[in-house]
Formats: sequence, structure tokens, C-alpha cells
Amino acid sequence: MLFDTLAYWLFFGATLVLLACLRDRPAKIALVLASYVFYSGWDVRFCLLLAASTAVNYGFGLWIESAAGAARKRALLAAVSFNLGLLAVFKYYNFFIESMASLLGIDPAGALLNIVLPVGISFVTFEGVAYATDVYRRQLPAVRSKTDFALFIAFFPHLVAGPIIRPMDFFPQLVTRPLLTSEDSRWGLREILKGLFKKVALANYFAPIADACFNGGSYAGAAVPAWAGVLAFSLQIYFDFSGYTDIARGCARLLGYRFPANFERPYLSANISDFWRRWHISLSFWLRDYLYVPLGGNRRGARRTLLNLLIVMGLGGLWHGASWNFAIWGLYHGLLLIAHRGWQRVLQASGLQAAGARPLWQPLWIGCTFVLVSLGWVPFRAADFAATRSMLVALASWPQLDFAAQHWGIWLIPLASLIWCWLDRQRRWQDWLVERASLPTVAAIGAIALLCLEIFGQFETQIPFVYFQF
Amino acid sequence: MFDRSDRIRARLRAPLLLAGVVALLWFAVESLVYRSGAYYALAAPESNAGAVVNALLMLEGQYRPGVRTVLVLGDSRVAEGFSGPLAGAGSELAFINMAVPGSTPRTWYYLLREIERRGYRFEAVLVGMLYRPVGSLLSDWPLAPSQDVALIGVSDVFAYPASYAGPAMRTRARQALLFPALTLRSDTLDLLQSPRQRWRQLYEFRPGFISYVPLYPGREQRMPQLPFSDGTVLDWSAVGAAERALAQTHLAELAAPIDPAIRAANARYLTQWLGAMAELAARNDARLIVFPLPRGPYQEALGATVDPSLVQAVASVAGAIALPVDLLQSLEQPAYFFDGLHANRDGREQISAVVGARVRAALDGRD
Repeated sequence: MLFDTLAYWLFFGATLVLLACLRDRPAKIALVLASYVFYSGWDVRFCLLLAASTAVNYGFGLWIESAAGAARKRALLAAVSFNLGLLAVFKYYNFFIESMASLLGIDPAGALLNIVLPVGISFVTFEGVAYATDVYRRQLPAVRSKTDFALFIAFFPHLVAGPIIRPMDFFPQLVTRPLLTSEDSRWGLREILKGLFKKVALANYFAPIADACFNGGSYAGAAVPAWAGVLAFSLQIYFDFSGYTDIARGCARLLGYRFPANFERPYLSANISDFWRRWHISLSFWLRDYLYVPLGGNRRGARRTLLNLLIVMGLGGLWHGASWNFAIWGLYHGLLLIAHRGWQRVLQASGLQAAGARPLWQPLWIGCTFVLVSLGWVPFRAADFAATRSMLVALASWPQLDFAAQHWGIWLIPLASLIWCWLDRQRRWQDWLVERASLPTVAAIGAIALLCLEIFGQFETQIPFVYFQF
Repeated sequence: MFDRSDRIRARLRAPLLLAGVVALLWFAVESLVYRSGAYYALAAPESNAGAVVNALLMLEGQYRPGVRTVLVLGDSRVAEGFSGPLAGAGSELAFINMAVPGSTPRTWYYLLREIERRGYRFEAVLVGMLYRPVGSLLSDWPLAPSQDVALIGVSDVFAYPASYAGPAMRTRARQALLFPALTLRSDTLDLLQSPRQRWRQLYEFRPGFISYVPLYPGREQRMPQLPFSDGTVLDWSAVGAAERALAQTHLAELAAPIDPAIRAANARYLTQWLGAMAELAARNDARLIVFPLPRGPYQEALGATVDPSLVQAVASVAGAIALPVDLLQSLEQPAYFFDGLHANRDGREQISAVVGARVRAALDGRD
């Protein structure tokens, strides 16, 4: 069940009404069951894996809490190994076997496993690791309620593509069941409509352009120039993933739960560190809290800090998929982060830091960051090294602008988005809509948004969310 | 397990109220723009919905109250092959050709319903029928929802989708009813992208097109004469490349086997919708008259017989007058066609004269 299908919205509406009719505990159980129904939409067998992972992680939580000293550490190690092992088997086993075989020049056929990658396994395992680590660090008591724990792992709005929920943020929300206010409803509706528009109208507009460019096909009967393909993919992945997150957050809010923000206008970042504080925020936090900090973070000297950055970003890249291209994308960002640190030092040493931070320079820094991030999407999207190379070579040639003259959307949508971000830079309009606007005004804006969705939505083909494959 | 009713109400009140008001306003906005018919004045004349609008405008331009009028409905074969002025020449009976290219009897029914709703009255409704089996299911004609969107309303919410056979087409039909903006999406986008061009199409080109349609003489081109023996062309040497391609495509279509289930379904479809049209016409004291279209340029040479299931389907329509199936059989020659489906200028003149005379005779009670 995809968020942009009628089947999902019927399911969601039924779940919303059912939960409202039930007392607290039955409502939680019903929500867990609904989440499993949602997950079974992909493959019923995945539910067994989800249930097994939930049961084992629940047990690990209790074990870690009850253990002390070295035993506690061993319990944590076992929990982390279990979760990463799950990921390794289902997601990376074949990849590593093929890579090794390619290195040694042997045929991997006999050693490969014929398994399907369960949807959302990367997110589920990260939740498991986060929970075990938080219990180990005594930041969170092990959860006693099996229903609560099952809900934490399986809660359907974030199950398949995040955001990655921190246990400390989620479990306190299960203690009391809040009454849904008018503000919650408006907030939820706003995010859902915003997300649907981003996905169905914007991401799905850019998707065929990016596909045509990266797959060597044509768009509207013509070849897509490299610059347009890369720009299209940069915008597709943002609108697709942030749209998904908006819908997930909106749905969660309507069911009485709050998810953290996952995107904060990342393409308006003035530097790469800023970008990673605004892009896939829940993953950045996870990598920081559960990988960068345990590796020593920036506490072990400058060289180790830089190495840690490379390790974290490289593994973060590989988390996206079993391909060296993802690792390259991650390492590229690691190098950008290192370069940014160096640049900061140069500015500091030369006394130009304050001058560089002036508003006058911001458009330049934002533009540079966007170009660097967009270049990074090339290995991320390209099928392999050869495709990456040929795309980068094509980017180096003089850009053909005919495409932009024929397909206005390629420049008009980013321009309109930029103007919108500038007009509503403090998000006051969005807040006004939730907090102060009258019901008829909200409804009128909602109705116009739905009409715009009908007119501008790309409904001809079902384009899956990009992050579902991760 | 279930909570107290006051708590349930408190939980559901805010989201349901908001969702309800948004849905209501959405419906209202769509109704205002699309269901009211306001948008159709702006639909591209070449689009499917625009073709229906053109037909209605043609009627508006040609209809004269008090004059005995015959309304002519059909698809592009009728649009190309029938001339109202030629059919009515020398008589007091006027023929208004409202054929919509690419349409089927269901669309003609909804068009007739709309015409009746607007208060136009006719002596008869004349429909052109091709007594030749077709390989596609007429009930699931893919163009139909985008043509009918200009003619259907919320009251058709059950009957209209149910008239389609396949689930995908039923979904499209439901979409056309409930979400007209979605069905007219690409038309609306075109309008937004180039409003000036649309303006010119609507207010500069269309009025000329509408006034030209009754004067349209038909096309001059002819299909090539081919020497046949046992259904095979003996010699292509005298035929140019373009003409040969046209003829070969047509002959391949004729040779393609047709599923008997589709034949049967199409016959049922014709009976259903011609029956509905006859009923609708009868309510205003008009008769439904069905005339046979020439089936193609090589039918005579191929010795093809008419499809009996279609003849039976038309004959079973209560209240309809079916003109003889072989009325225009002599025109099933290349000299009267410009492609495999459509009559040329000569064909148009002949069809109009013959059918016009038969309709006048039928209405005057002489037939």
C-alpha cells in the first residue's frame, strides 16, 4: 500500500475511525494489527520477519537492562549483531559475495542466496539498534509492554521509509492517549496535502526526466541533457522523500502521535554541514548518536575525527543500498564535510569568517552547496561506475538549454519553490493555517489544494517512493 | 473494548468535521468549474471533450425552431460521409450533423439526453451504423470517458460506470464522474501553459470551423483500385507507396480474426444504447432511424457479407426504423472512400442523397 493510492487512504480512514472507537489498550493492539496489515500489503512473509525481529529486540532490551558490567556490554553487542546480521543477510549478503567473487575472479553463482529484500528492513533494524543502545546507556528503561514495543517497531506511517524514530521520543507518547484537537487535525491535513502534492505533482514530474537521462532513454521524444537529468533527480529525490515524510507525519499526528521533522529546506543550506542538519535529519541523528559518537566522535584528535567522518558517511551511504555507488556517494559527502571543516579553519585563520557569513554572500554559498550536493546525486542515481563516469563527463560539456525552453517545469518549479520558501521563510503562513485561520478558510485552501493535486498530479504511472528500496 | 460514545465523538469530531468541510468545498469548487459546464467553454476544440462541445455549438448554430429537423449522430464515418445540406436539399426537412469523431452509441445517447435537456426538438434522430464487426469492445471504448465527461452528472454515478465491462474502464468512468478535473487534467494544463493559443483556438478558429462544417464538401482522395482474386491482391504495381500502405493496413484489419465473445458483447451494446436512444427520442415524438454506412472500399470485391449479429441487434431495438442493410452496398468501392473507413467527396454526396431521400420518405409515411 503506497501513500499515493486510494487503497491506502481507505485503509487509513478505516484505521482512524476504528482507533477512535476503542479504549486505550485495544486501540494500541488494533494499531499494531493495522500496521501488520499495512506491511502484509507487500508480502505476508515480511510480517513473520517483522514479528521475529520485534520479539528478539524486546528480549534484548530486558536482557541488557538486567545485566551489569561486561555482561551488559555483551548483551548490547548481541543485540547490535542481531540487527546488523539481519541487514547483512537480507540486504548485503549477495552484494558482498558478488564483490568478493569479482575481486577473486570466480563465479559467485553457487554462493548466492535467492532472497527478497524486505521493504523497510533498513529502518526496522536501525530502530532496533537505537533501542538497545538507549537501554544500554540507561537513557531509557527497557519496555515491559509487548504491545508498546511492537507498536514502536511496526507503527505503519514510519515503517517502510522512516523517519527513524528515537525510542526516547516515541515511548513517552504511549503513556497517555491525547485527545485529537482541531489544531492536530489541521496540522495533519496540511502535512498530508503538502506531502501528496510534493510526491504526486512534483516528484512524479521530475522522475521520468531523471529516468530518461540516467537510463539513456528519451523524454517527450527528445534526449535529456545531463544537467537537466541531474537537476531533475535532485528535485525528484527531495520532493519524493520529504513528501513521503510529510504524509507520514501527518498520518501519525491524526492517529495521536508526533514524528520529528526529517527535512528543513535542505537545498537552502549554506554549507554541507548545514545540509546534513536539514536533510534526512533522523538518519543524521542516528548516525551521530549510534555510530559517530561510539567511534569517538571528535574527542580523539583531529585526524581521528576526519576518519570518523569518512567512516560514518561511507557506511551511511552504504546503508542506502547494496552498491559501491552508494558508498562512493557517502564517502563524497564525508570528503565534503572534511573540506568544509578545513575551509572553516582557513576563514577563521584569515579573519574572514564574519565577512563570509554576511547575508550578501548567502546566495553564493547556497548555490555552491546545491551544486555540490547535486553532483553527489550522480553516483547515487547512476547504475554503476561506468554510468557515473559518463554522466560526469556529460556534465562537463557546455549545457544545452533548449530543454529548459520546452519543459518549463524544470526551472519553474524550483523557482516557484524558492519564492515560496522566501515568502514563508518563517513558516508563518503555514502556522497561521493551523493555529488561527477560520475553518472555512482552511477548508477552502484544502479544497483548492486538492483541485491543484488533480490538475498537476502525475497519475498516469505509479512511481514508487525512492526510499522504499532502501 | 469500545470506548464511551462521548469520547468517541470527541476523538472523531475535529478530523471528521475538517475532512467533511474540505470534501464538501472541494466538490463545490469542482462543480463550479467543471460540473457547471463553465470549463467546457474553454476545453480545447480538438480534445475529446472539446469535440462534444463543438457538436453542441454546431447544433446551436444550425437549429431553427419551427423547422422540421433531423438530428444526425455518429462517429467520424458519419462526420465525413454525411452532409446535412445535401440530404435535405430540395425539401423542407433540415438535417443537422452532430457526429463526434471517435464516439460510440453510449456517447450519442448522453449527447441526445443533453440536447433534449436543452429543449431542442427533432422529427427524427438519424444514426449511421457500420454493419461490420470490430475487434475492440465497444463498451470499453477508451475515448468514451473523456468525451462523456462533458455530458454526465452526479445522477449517473451508478449507471454510467456500470455500463463499462472492465474494471480499469469502470474506474476511469467513475473518475470522470466524481473527479472531472482529473479527467480533464491535460486539457487544463494545456490551457494554463498557453492561454493565448487556447484563446485563439476558441475564439478565432472555432467559430470559422463551426460555420464551415455544414459546407464541408468532403475529401477528394480515393482509395486505389485493386485487382482481387480469392481475397488476395494480385498486383500492387500500379499503386503508390502511401496508398499501398493505407490499403494494406485496411486489409490487415479486415483479415484479423475477431473473438466471437466480443462480437456478441458489441451486439448487446448496440441493442442497449440504440434502445435507450429510441426511448429517449420517443419521449419527444421523434423516431430513431438507423442507416447503414458503406463498410469499406473493398467489401464488394472481397464479397464480404454483413455481420448478422449486428443486423439482429439493430432490428431488435423497439421503436427504431432500420433502413435496409444493403441500401448503400453499391458504394462499397474504392472510388467512394479516401481511406479504409471514411467516405470521400463522391461517397459523401451519394450517401447524403440516398439516405436523405429514404429518411424523408420514412417520415412522410411513404416507406
